[in-house]
Amino acid sequence: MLDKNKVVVGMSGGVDSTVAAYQLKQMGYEVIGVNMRLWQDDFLEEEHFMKDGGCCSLSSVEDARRVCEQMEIPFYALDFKGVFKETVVDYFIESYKKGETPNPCIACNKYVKFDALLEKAHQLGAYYVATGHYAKVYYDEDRSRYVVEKANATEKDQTYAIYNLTQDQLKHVLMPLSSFTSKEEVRKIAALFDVQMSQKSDSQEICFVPDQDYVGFLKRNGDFEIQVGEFTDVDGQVLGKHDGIVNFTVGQRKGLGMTFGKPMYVVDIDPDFNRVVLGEGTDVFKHELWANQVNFILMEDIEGPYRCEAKIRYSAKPAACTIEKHGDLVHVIFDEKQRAITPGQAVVFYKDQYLVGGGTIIRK
Amino acid sequence: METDFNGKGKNMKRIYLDYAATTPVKKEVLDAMLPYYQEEATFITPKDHETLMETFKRQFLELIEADSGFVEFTAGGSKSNNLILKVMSDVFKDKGKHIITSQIEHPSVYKVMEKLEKDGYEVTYIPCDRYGVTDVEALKAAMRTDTILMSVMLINNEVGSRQPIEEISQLCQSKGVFLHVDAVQGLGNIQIHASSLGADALTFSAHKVYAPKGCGAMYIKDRRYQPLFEARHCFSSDNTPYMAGFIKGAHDAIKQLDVNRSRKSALRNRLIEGILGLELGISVNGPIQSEHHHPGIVNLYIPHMDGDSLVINYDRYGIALSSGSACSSGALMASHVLKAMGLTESEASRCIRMSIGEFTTEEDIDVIVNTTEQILKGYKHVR
Repeated sequence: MLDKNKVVVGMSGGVDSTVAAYQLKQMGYEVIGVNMRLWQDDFLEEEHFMKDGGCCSLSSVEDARRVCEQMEIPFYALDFKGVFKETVVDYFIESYKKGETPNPCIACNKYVKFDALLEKAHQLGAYYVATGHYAKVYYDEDRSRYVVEKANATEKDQTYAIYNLTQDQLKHVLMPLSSFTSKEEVRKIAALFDVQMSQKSDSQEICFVPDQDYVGFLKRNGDFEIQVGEFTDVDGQVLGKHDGIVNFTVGQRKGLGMTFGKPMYVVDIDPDFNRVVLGEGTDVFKHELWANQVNFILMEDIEGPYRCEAKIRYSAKPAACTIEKHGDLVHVIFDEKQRAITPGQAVVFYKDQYLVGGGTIIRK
Repeated sequence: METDFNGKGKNMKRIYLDYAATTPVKKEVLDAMLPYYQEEATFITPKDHETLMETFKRQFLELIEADSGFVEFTAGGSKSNNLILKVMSDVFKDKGKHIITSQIEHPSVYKVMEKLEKDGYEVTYIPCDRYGVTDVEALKAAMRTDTILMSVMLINNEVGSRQPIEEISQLCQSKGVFLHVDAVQGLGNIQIHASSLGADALTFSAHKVYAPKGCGAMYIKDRRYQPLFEARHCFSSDNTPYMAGFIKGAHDAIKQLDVNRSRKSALRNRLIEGILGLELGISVNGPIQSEHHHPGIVNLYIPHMDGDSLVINYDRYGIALSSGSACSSGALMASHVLKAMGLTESEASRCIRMSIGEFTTEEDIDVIVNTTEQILKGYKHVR
């Protein structure tokens, strides 16, 4: 039988997961700390000596081990490299290959943290997996469902990255940072037992690309040729040559490699013809989008048009919209045009403080 | 153990069942080392030091019953493997660039092989049978005129299977191929008679025989190669306390081999009977009877859950063991050895290794069997 008082906490060695573990221990849970070994980039470690870059680094294991010792909870480092490569890194590479801009954190949450790690937790007899995510997860009696609300610390809210969890996953998830109103509060708790760690900066970049050189990463790990292609304008007129679609994302202005006498933006990436379409400022704004791989949390599904707000990237402001299902796809029509709707990114829906659901933006 | 977990507390008795990974330094070994840290370390002339080193090397040659050849001490078994493979592949490179090894070698061998492949050598990896014994016929078939080097371990570290080294060495001698044998798991667990084994080179590690980590040895039959290895010691002081400890550990292990083997074999049988008697669908990977194999290694396939989860569950009950070879921490990949023996990726990831040593008792074995039942009986594959 799984023990509802037992929880496996994914420990990155950073402030959030440390305080999450600490809170759970204070609440009386039996806590087991686990550092997930996800990726090892020999190139970066050997060539750049980036030993403490990102949550995949070796120093992060030692930090996690140290804080667990201080909190007197058992600690283990476990290997998840196989599942991480298959579900996150391969997806990341495929996505760039298709001219998209992927969101690997969302894939990691769905397939690694709340699937592979959850399975390990069950093998250790623990009912729950906990993380340092900022989101409120609880069972709503009225709806007879697990629902997700935005975190109290609004500027840290991470509900965007968990929109695609299933009810069964949510059932086994604890996110004890949801009640904090700011990161500073969390740092204060961390400082109670580890001042040095409490000052660690927030991770921003993608953990397995700590040098932020995505193109370098794709060259080392991708099995495809990055090919020179054409820039065109929105009418299909060729404007010049680009050095491979992986170098671009929708909305990008800088780094086009040529000048046009006026500001030009990437408005579309066409993988079939290896083309990057450039337009003027107004061309970057769009009224609508389509998304696939749709998941709803607040309800089983939507019927007919549904009014809500949507975020088209992690850092975007929620914008009023109407969404409607068409088969497996969802059509999103915004009240006001949105800047740089980017295929590959998630569109996530909210109703007030509730996470409604979301999907992956596609090129249509 | 800090926390009260699974009903066991801080003073829970820990049971160590990972002797194939490393062994504790015995008191007798420590006693043999101490003089070399103190009086022997300071009042010794360079000439006496030379004599001492010669004595250590001669003693080691006697321990492994080598009629000829030389011994060099190194920083460990892995270091010895690295050195021999790198140096000898270079020595023979004008003769050919083909190397043969088994599919079940230790990382300190197969990692070098991967490096050699990058450097232009061609490596053939010989399969094994379901018990983890290398296929000599396949090995024969792989021999070519440009084959220069062969490396096969004496005892596999994950499943305990002894490899048919005598047959392989005859084959190598008839073809003029240099045979290296990683004997790290052999020392103290099976009889090692260097001359009758017939290998051209052997490697050993101190911390498998109740002596310190960071010390190993390499034996090479042909003295002509000695300068190639001696040269690698320049500028460093010889670690005489470790060598003295190694010799004492090896000496005792070899002297008490028969007694220890039958004791460990009896414990191994008790463990296997106990675990299989639980009737939980667990099976043994590798040799069932120890016979001429390692007397203390038991590799188990436990279908209920992943090897790393099992290691943690046992740890929570105070039992230390490993999921396969745990030489590089954090690297818990499905074992290449078990896959070579025919297990699928998913089966190979659900295995653990228990290894019995000199301090293991019958009571320990009974606790382990009971704990195994405890861990697995409550587990349902829920997802």
